[in-house]
Amino acid sequence: MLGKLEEEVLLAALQAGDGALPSEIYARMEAASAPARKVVAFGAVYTTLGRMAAKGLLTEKNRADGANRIRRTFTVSALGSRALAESMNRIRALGGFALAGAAHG
Amino acid sequence: MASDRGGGTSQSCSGPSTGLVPSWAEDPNPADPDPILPANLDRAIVGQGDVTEAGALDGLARLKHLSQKEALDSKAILLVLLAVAVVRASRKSRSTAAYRPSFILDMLVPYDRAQDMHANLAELYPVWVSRHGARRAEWIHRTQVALLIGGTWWEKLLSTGERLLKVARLIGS
Repeated sequence: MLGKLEEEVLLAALQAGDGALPSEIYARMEAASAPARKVVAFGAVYTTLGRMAAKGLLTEKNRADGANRIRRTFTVSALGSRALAESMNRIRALGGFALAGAAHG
Repeated sequence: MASDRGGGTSQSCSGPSTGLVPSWAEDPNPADPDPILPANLDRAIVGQGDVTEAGALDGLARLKHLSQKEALDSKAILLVLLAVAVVRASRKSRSTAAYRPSFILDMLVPYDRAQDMHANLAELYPVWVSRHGARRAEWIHRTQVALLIGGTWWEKLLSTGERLLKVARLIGS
């Protein structure tokens, strides 16, 4: 079962695409959050990415950037996609999406 | 030098100098009919290396050839002080907008991981500066560095604990 932050990180990583940098994933999370809402810290997201890669929810690869620095990139694994789908299904079964639609509408 | 640019001398003052009135204020020149406008304030202080209240007032006086009465007008002085504050803030913002890698991060985190963290923070730093300003961005950066260091060590602690737990379970079974 995924935590709330893990869910958000997986969704942002899916949006960012394959081989996304932590800063790209974080930027997507920041952009998606409401202006008044406190955004989760980058340090927490970075640590979560590492933990999720260790669990197998994300696959981690290293690549060198323009400045010859080794950058960690993350891609959502099959296990991560399944876990996310299960989590979304659970939310849908409990009427979470309908509630979100009602709140916005 | 200020009196040369002002176009007059302090001899035109009616009373003796008390020392409380700046030299530029003792140089009235009623020939300039322009009112004191906020638009002129930036011109008054631009070009001065060290932006100070006294320097800005001096620059404004030279620019507008203010009389003693005009110069001591509280509205004009308030506007000058406001302009100085704005210029100082913008200069400070520009000077601190560049990302500075944290030495502590290099010290407490493995090299390759620290490089990756620096690269990510350098990408996010301009976003924080544009969104929150340079000073707040600097604090956010410091907080993130602390979180990253804490997270790295916490991760290590957790993985070590998990390993120990596995070993203990193996021994127990």
